[in-house]
Amino acid sequence: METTNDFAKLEDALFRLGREIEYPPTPAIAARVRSELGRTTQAPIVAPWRLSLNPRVFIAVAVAIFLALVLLFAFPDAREAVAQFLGLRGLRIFYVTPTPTAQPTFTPRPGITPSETPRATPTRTPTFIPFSLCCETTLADAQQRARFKLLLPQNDQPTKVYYQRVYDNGEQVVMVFGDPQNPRFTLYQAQRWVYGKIVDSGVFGKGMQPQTKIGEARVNGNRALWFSGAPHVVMVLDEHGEPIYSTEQTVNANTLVWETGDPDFGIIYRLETKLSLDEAVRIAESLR
Amino acid sequence: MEQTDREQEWIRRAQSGQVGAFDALVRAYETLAFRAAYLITHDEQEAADAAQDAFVRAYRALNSFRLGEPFRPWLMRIVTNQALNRIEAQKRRGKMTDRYMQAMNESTDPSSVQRHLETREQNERLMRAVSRLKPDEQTLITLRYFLELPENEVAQALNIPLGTVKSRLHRTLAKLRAVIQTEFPDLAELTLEH
Repeated sequence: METTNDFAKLEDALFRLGREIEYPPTPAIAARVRSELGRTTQAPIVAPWRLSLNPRVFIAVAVAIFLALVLLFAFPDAREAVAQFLGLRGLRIFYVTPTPTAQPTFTPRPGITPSETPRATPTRTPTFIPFSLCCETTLADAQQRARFKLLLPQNDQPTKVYYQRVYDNGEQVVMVFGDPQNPRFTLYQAQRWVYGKIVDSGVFGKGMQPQTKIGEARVNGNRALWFSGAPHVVMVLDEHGEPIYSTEQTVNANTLVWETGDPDFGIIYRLETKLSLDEAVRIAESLR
Repeated sequence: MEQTDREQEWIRRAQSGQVGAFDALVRAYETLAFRAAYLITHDEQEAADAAQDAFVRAYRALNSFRLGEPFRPWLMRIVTNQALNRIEAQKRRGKMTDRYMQAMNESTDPSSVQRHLETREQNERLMRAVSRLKPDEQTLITLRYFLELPENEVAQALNIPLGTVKSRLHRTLAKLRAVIQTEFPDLAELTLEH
């Protein structure tokens, strides 16, 4: 602290005053900035997402993400309009309806029938890489660090375990089961953590069905959602409901999502797998 | 990765058009920017608008930012300019200051007041004394003392030489001392030399 002899006491008092000022909560400046940039400037080209997809699927996913982000960021009020919260407090689903301007992206190549081109081919390879690959650990360490009890399926042990935190508040533990290069399933257990999923509404043409199907299910009596049919994007949302940068991840798998407990201490589970819904529910209900 | 390295990487990527990287920068500095603007405008809504405008201007001017230079003072220059412009443009300083003082009082926890009544009263009166200064003088106080930026960063933020910062600080503190001695004599102890 630099002071002069003349004003030492006054400077000390000003520093102290500065530390004791009670500021209003910081508003969602980032969201406002995105909104303003989206409205007044040409959106820069977004870098490709990390996971590799075949070109057609990649373009479909990239366009879906781009349009979703444009909608989300350009029109904060529209965020609620495009979002549908289907009853899981730790999961928000954003439906994306690409505008006609996106259609040229899906122009059929010669030799491919129109009915095939706009459809992202479902893949049944589960995603196993937690976002940003942070932070591999042991099951014992993850259990010690997590503020909630980690559940495991009967007679099964994870081959990889990751422990992740966000904003020193929410926690997530990721367990990979089976061959890490081709896992049978990946289990995400999180507390105080809100996921956002961007799914394509599938309205590339009249009468077409959504590419990602969302079905209802039950896990030990708790409501669950089953995502299947096409890749979708999952990301972590912050306290304002805004996507946290670099947490987005393309999920190339069917996913079962359910949650337990109360809003503060409840746990949300995601099980990404190449297995069927029945098999996924069986695993989910075996967790102890 | 060090914070500075990560920040430079965000800037580099933002300069190449990755809006997500700029978003990370905004998140890293939105609280500081908002608080700086709040201390200058004394109005929550004006501060939010000033911070938003500052980031938008920063984004548009990002290509003029030289990689390797510290980002914080560069951004703070834009924030303080935006906040000061809002004061001059809207000429609602008296009204804003009243609301600011009211907000400070309302945000105070009663038990905390009980415990620190004397200190808090002194702080409130000192803040009132600071609010008697000109906007550019208040900005100097805000950056140097309330936000605790080093003098060299204050110089970069205000785009003036370091020596000028030192001399202006000296003059501003002398003026603040005069304000205290004439209008807030109960704070006179703060103006005594060690």
